[in-house]
Amino acid sequence: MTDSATMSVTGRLVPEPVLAPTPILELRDLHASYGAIEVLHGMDMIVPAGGIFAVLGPNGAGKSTMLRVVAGLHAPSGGSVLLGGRDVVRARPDELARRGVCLIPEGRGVFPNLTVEENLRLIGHLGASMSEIEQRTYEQFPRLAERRKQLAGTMSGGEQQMLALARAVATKPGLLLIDELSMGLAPKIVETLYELVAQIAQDGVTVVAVEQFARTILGIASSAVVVTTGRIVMAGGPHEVESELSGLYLGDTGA
Amino acid sequence: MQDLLAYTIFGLVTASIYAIAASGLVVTYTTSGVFNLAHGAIGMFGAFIYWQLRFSWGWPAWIALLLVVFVLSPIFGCGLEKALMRNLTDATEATKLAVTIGVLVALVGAATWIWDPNLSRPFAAFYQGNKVDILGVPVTWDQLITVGIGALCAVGLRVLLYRTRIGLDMRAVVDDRALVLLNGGRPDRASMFSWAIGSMLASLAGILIAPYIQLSVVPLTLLVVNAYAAAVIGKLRSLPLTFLGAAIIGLLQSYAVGYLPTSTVQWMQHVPDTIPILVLFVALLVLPHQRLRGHTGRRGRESFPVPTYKMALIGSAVVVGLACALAPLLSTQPLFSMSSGLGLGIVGLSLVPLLGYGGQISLCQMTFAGIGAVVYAHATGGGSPLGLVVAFVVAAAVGALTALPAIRLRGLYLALATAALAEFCDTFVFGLSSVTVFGHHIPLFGNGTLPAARLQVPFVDVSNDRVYLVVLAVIFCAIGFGIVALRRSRHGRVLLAMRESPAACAMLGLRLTTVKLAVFSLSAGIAGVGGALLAGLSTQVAPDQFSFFQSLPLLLLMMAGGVGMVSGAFFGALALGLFSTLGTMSSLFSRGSSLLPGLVGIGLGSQPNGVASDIGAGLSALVRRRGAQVPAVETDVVTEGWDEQCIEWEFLGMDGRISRREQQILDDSLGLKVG
Ligand SMILES: Nc1ncnc2c1ncn2[C@@H]1O[C@H](COP(=O)(O)OP(=O)(O)OP(=O)(O)O)[C@@H](O)[C@H]1O
Ligand SMILES: [Mg+2]
Repeated sequence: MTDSATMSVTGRLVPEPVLAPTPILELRDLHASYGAIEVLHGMDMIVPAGGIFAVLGPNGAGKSTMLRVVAGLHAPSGGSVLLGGRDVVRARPDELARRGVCLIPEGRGVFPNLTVEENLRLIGHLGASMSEIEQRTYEQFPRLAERRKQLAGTMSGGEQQMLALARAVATKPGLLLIDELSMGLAPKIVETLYELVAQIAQDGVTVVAVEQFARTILGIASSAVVVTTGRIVMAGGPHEVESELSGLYLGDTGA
Repeated sequence: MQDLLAYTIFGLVTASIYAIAASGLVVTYTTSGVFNLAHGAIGMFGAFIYWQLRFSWGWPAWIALLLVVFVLSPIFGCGLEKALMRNLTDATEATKLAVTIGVLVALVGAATWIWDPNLSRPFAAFYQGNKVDILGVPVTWDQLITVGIGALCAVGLRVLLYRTRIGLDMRAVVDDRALVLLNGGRPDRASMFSWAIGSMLASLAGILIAPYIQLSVVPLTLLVVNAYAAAVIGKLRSLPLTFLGAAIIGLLQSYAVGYLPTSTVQWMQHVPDTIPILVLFVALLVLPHQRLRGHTGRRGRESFPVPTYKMALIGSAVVVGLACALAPLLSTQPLFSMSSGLGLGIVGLSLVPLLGYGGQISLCQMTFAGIGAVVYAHATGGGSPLGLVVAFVVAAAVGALTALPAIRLRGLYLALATAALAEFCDTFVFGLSSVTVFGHHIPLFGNGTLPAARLQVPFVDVSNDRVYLVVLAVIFCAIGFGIVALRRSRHGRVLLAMRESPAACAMLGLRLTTVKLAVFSLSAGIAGVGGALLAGLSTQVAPDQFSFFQSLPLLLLMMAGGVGMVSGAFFGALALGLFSTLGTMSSLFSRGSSLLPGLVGIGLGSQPNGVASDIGAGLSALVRRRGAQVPAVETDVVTEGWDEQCIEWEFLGMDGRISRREQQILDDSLGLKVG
């Protein structure tokens, strides 16, 4: 109890961009490895507060690894991660979560053997009241309200990702990290999901989204980077990046 | 009809106790990922403390019960989690199991130390003597209470898991540990809570069953085997199925007592005791194949250098030299201790290919040794070397049969199957007076000992104990040399690959089941040879030498020595010899003799490599400091990045070359090539 209270005093990320003149997230010369194999070879990246920040790149480039490092799931082998100007490299993932960093991991970010309601109830850790969370969530995601007693694992892929989004939003994050929301979903559903993401961003949450559906994400992003083999090879506005990307290896279906 | 009802009621009583024990096991295993083999030992300890409070000090039953179950047990469980289990999240399955075995062995040591096992301790059931009549069948109050508590546990666990916040957390941790962290939850708190619950249920089961099987250390400790038989039916994760499993086992056991001619047919006497074990084997046979996972999050911290023939030669010279030097000096007792240490060391060597290289844990090597001893004693009148061969072959065959049901499952199930075999032999096979195989009459222990001749070696007088020590040392080195050769061959690398990443191997077309079966049989065979040599040492064999309970300290000391290296088995053997010498020197030590190996086993949690590799590294550092040129330690163990390593290995595609298609599968699934 006590630690969550101090936590919010010490440095919960502030959702409003105006209050944060420093970039909300900054990577400086970030290195990460699995055992002896290095997969991030010095990444520098600045994510300004507000808006959607797109991360593109081929399979195995290290995008997921980068997000895992930021969320505290994987310890980097060098460099630093600054959240709102503070180095958080040593922080545990649950501490970061309580400070307002929320990662929706690759795959389905839900607990398959818990019901929808229970999936939402888990975030009670963060001090919010349950009825309030449920009310707000079901308002924003009416589809979930119909399925509150269903096991999350039995819902369709799109519904599961919607639940993951809903749970993430309910934690009132300052920084939302999304890893391939679209994985294994039909383009139509992906569009819907990203409309929701755009709405979330509009409410003041900074979103970093790793995505293979380049055109979809660039359509709503305010800036973007391209990662290949553990390095940022390009950074800029969405249009800039898109023109460079066209006809490249990403196999974007965009349609 | 009346009988059937009576047996059914009694079956339900046992079933309730098994269910209480098994559900505790399942709750801790699913939430924390550690399969607690010490579960029964915790129950045993709880029952002893209860006895102390209730019957020795005369406290009221309910105060003693509340104190043990709701205060001491959860404190113990939380302590275990915090001190040991928490640090095991990324340890290998073998290390996890070894640490819990360490706890088991230490608890048994502590209990025998505190409560002299030679005294009898009457343990009255609750409200002893009070009965009610149910449809004409007299049922004791205590039986009713037991069934009631069992039902209460079922309901209580259900409510806990589905109606409370901490239960929700526990289920979430079972589903996806990392995701709980990402949501700001604390999986370690859920784990700790699950250990507290597990210990409470263990103690409760121990206290409830003690009146039926008497308050003695080993049977209560081994209750865990019956409990996990029920848990395996629940695939180690479903509580309702676990309760069903417990019901099946309890009822079958009760009916077996009732309807098998156990009192008239002598060999049937112990059949009811084997029911849980038989059910376990059947359950293993029908359990569905488990999917292999590539990144299991398990990153072995164990790594051992590749042995060289030169080092093996030097090592052999040292071992044989040491034996020659010590043999004339030692007096009778230490000489016997050292010899039996070496004999056990040979059994321990069998773990090097199996556990050290292949990563498969076996809890019944002493049982294989016992089988080897029996066969050897029978096969050779005069101790001909042929007896060793027969011992090897028979033990290997039994090993293959044991492994067969579990071989396609995860390593944990194989370990459980081996413990079940050990229990089966202890309670049933070794107690028979003889068996007849293909018309061949083989005498077994019955209730006594079997005479066995010493191995005859040309030109040496083996009847001299000092000479036999040297003979044992030579055989130890010969087998060790064979194991080094295995390690350096292609088969050795396949074994290592199996340990490091079953998924990667399966993908490359390696037949893992064949590999596992082969190494398991080999290992059982070596253990059989060790048993035969041990039989020769004392020229007679008794069943308790080869009980399940002897396998556990052996395993721990071998792992502490460093089970990935032949030299590790030697250190293990040395430690066994020393501990047993200590045991003969003071009665204090002999009583709690398993305390030391237990503590050693617990230490494995932080030092999974054992001492051999440390000593090796220390030695080479020493040599280097003296200016000699030492080649860098040759290591090819993959502790990380299995994908890269597998690709380098020559066994890819079995003939050393990778086909186009295999290359593509590799690229696709490992994401090694980009773009
Ligand atoms: N647990 C792991 N152990 C070893 N190597 C890993 C592990 N996870 C990822 N890798 C390796 O790290 C590299 C980067 O992986 P990562 O998952 O970050 O890529 P990615 O950009 O997210 O790819 P994708 O688009 O396919 O999701 C890959 O080469 C991968 O093989
Ligand atoms: Mg990824």
